[in-house]
Formats: sequence, C-alpha cells, structure tokens
Amino acid sequence: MSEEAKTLYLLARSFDYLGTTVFLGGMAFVAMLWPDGAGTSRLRRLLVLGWLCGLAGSAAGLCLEAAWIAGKPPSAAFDPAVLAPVLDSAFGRVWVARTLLWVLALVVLIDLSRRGATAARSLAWRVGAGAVGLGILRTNGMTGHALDLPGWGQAVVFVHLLVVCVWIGGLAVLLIAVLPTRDRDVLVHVLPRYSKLALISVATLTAAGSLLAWRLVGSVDALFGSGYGRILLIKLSVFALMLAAGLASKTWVDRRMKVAANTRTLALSVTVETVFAVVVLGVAALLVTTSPGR
Amino acid sequence: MKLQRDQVVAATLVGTVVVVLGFASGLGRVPVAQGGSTQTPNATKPTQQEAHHPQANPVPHPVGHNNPVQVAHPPLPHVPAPTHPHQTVPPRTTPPTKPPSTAPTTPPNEPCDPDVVKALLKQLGVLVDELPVVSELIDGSAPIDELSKLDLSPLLGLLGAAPKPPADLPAELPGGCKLLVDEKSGKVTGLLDTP
Repeated sequence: MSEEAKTLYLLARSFDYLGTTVFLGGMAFVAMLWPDGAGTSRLRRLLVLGWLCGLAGSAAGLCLEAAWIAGKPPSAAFDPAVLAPVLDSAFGRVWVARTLLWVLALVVLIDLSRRGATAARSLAWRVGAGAVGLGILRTNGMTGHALDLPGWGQAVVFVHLLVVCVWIGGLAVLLIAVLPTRDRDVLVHVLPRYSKLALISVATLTAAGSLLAWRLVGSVDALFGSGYGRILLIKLSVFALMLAAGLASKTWVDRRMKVAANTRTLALSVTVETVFAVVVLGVAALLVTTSPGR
Repeated sequence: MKLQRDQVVAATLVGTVVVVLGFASGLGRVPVAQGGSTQTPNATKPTQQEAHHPQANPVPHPVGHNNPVQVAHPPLPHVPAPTHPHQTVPPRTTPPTKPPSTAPTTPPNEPCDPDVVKALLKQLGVLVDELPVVSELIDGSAPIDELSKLDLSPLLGLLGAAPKPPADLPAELPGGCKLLVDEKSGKVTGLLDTP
C-alpha cells in the first residue's frame, strides 16, 4: 500500500521540480532577457503551466508523503488523521510554507499577465518575483539531504537549484515561446544572450554538482556501490547527453544563426535538450528520496 | 516620496516571504510538554533530522517523548516500512547549554516487558502456563532480578547437566522485570512490574 503512495509521491516531486524550473526559470528569462515576451500568450501559458505544476506538486507531495509514512494507500493522503502528524513536524512546516509561497507566486503571475512588459521591466515586480522565487528555492534546502550539509553546502544547494532553473526554464521558454515566433529580431536579440547565460549556468551547475556529489557520496566505491550513487550516475549520464545537445545548440547560435534560412536545426537540438532535462528532473526526484551513499 | 501600488505589493511580498520562511524554520515555535512530563529543551526541540522526512517507521517511545509525528500516531499495525532515505543518519541534537552537574550513576529504568520474560522462561522450561503480572509483592513470595538466582535444576537435570546455570545466561532479567518466586517451592509464581 505504502509503495503506491511512494510512487505517486515521486511523481508529485517530479511535477514540483518541473513547475519550479519552468516557472522560476521563465520568470528569470522574462526579467533578464526578454521583457517583451511577457505580452505573448505562449509565454503566459507556459508560466501558468509551471505554476500549476509547482503548486499541485507541492501540495500533493505533502499529502502523499504523509500517506507513505503512515503506510496507507494514496486514497488516505487527504485524511486529516493521516495529515495532522506530518503537518505538525518540521518537514510538514517546510512543505506547507512551500505551498504558501506558490500561492504568493500567483500574485506575481497575475501582475505580469495584467501589465505585461511594463511589469517585467519594473523594479518593484522584479523584487517581488525575486523574493517569492528565491523563497521557493530556499525551501528545497530545508528538507532532504541538504540538512546533512554544513552552511556552505546549503549555499551550494541554493546556487545549484538557481542555475538549474535559469538553464532548464530558459530552454522551455526558448522551445515554447521564442522559437515559434520565427521573429528574426527577437531571435537575434534573445538567443546570444541566453547562450551566454546558459554557459555560465552550466559551468556553475557542474562545479556545484561536483561539490554536492563529493559531500553526499564521499567516495568512488559509494558512487558505484550504493543505490544513491548508481542513481546519481544515471543522472550524470543523462546530463552528459543534455550537454552534448546544448553544445550543438550553442554552435548553431554562434556560427549559423546569421546565415541559416530557418531555425529547424536549433529547434531540434533544443527539443532534445529539453527532453533530457525532463528526464534529469525525474531522476533528481528519485534521488532526493534515496539515502546518500555515506 | 509617494509610494506606488506595485511598490507596496512588492514590499508586502518580500515581508510575507520572510515570515513564511521563518515559519518553515520553526522560529518562535514553543515546544509543548506532554503528559505533564518534564522535558529538557533539547528533548522537545524538533531536530533537523525530523525535517528530512518524518520517521517512516514509527517505533514506540517512552511516555514523554515529544516527537510530534510519532506521538500523534496511534500504534500502527505491522506493515512493511517504506524505505526511509535517512534512517542511517543519526539524529542531530543541539549541544546542552551547560554540562550536567553530576554524572548519572544508574541507567534509567526500562519499562517491564512481560512478553520478553515469558518467552525466555518458556525456553528455559520453568514456565508452562501464563504468568500473572502483579504490581506489588505477594505474601510468601520473594522478588528476584537475576536469572542466576532462579532454580533451574529441573531443566538442567533433564538435560543431564551439572546443577548450575549455563554461563551464557544474562545476568539480569530482560525487559527490566523482576520475578516473583515462591519462597517454599522456589517456583516462579508471577511477574513483578513496579512502575
């Protein structure tokens, strides 16, 4: 019974991660690279989708974790008697806070939808959106393996998640909102800047991920011998494939963007990159529910 | 300087996020003692380990243990426990604010577990029927708390062994109990459970 709840819990965590990266990465993309995109319906729909995934994933994750712990079937996840003990725990408080922050994010989203590019360019909106986004990211470091880490490790977790959102959320915006416009001015304005941002994000992500892997896994033996290590290896393998697709995208932007007749090749590499990113997020959800190797 | 509406909204959002994160961190949370038991701050403060995930396999604790998740759980039927990602990590506790003035001389009493003792006595062959659990001494009976003081001669004689207890018998009775032995016959007549 509890295994069903655990499976659904993993699914909820995957949705939560997907929503976090798409929503926060999309917001960052709008604020830093493409304020005019706030007026496009495709981007707004993508952000709404990200917000729904984040809110539903957080709320469902909390309830399903309660059912999993109690050894109950998923149908008992919303039973107050099952939920009450978890809500009173530190873990429950963090997840309730996370859900509340997602509700606050609705204010940011509504403001962006109503005022469009004006909101995206205003300092007030950026400050509000930044506070909510960083708050959501902070709650990730308040549960799970991050608690085993010292202070610097908490900062590394935060940076790791931040650059993941910037990179993968940006990919989603590129694929769903930017490339379909086929507006050459937009492409020339946005793509090179996103390419640089993605490069910085990947470099930071690699450094932060290496530090966390070293701290959490601890040894090569644990990497190959423990369940956590093996899942991490799967994640790293998919990440390597994602990097290869990202390299192809960057090469196209650097060398062929000005001469290419269409963006079909870029769209293909970005699609492949995004699919691998979704797989990485799913593996990451599995990773956070597995005991580290040390 | 005149405040605009979006600036007020942004300031409100920032303030709310700070409050929500403070709530998530457990700031200002007053630990509640349960059952009138005296609890040290260390015992009542939720540990960081608790925030990993609540304990997946609740185990019974002595009264007064103040883990909110575990206390609120009724005794659960035995089900296969979900794999808990952090069971191997020892729980973190904050260091005490001052060292204890005297070292404890005796360990705290374990609660008496009659089933453990009954199972052992049945294995030793000195118990056939159920053992009554009493809370005070009965006339003509004496309490013993070491197995070596128990008359095992019927069992040992049956096995053809020398009339002395086996060396690997535990010195004290498991489960923190005492046996009531009839002073005349030397037979076990009950289990003494004094809180």
